Amino acid sequence: MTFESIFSAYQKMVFNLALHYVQQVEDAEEITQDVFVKVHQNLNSFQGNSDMSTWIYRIAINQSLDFIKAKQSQKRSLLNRLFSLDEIETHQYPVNVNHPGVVMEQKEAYDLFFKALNLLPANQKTALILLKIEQKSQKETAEIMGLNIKALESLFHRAKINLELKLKLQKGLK
Amino acid sequence: MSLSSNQNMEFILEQLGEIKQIEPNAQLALKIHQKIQEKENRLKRRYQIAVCIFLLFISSEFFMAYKNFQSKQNNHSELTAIIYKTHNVLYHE
Repeated sequence: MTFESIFSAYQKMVFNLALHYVQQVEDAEEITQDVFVKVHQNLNSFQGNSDMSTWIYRIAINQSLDFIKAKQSQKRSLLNRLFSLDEIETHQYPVNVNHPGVVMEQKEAYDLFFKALNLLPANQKTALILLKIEQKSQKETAEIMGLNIKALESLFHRAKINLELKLKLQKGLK
Repeated sequence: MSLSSNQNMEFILEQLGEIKQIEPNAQLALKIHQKIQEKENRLKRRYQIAVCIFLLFISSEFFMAYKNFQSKQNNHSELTAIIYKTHNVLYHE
């Protein structure tokens, strides 16, 4: 498979996955660019042990999580430098939810959901995105995340409980 | 999206499947090609810098070795001249 054919087959998938993580078009585009630069760099070392889409999913997930981590630490260090506050709790990223894939009438509800989703640990967030937003099967999700089905089920269960708590918290804050 | 029970949570999660897929920007391919090119150029430049540093190091080593060799040769010719002179002096004495 050539890079061009991989790009045209998976660009939409990568962009939308990144969008679910960061909920901002510009940032999702940046992540997509970095994902395909990585794919281009490592295409020769891809041995075909897993599916091409599984491989690209993994790169996209890692890139999205790294991007979020980088943004959060950038924000934290800037705040620390300005106010010398180490325990400040305002380093959440993304701050504004602006997912273009949600229908206008339900935007408020989805914003609340994404704000709660962004507060979850990375693996719980990934499980929810893959299973519920991307509508992947348990088998596919487990393969992408490198887990067995049982571990994925328990992770998803914890994610659901955690999400419910965070949603309540978000509603309380509103 | 109400949050009171398990059923509602399930409902919320089911709704997530309705999020629409978005088409990425048409310029994305171009931007990616530019980024790949930039990265390759950066890599090339790094190799060039590494080669330059290596050549500089090698040539400075050669220069030092040559200098050393030359100073040894100079010492040697000075010594032979001294020895020759001394020999001559001794001979005449």
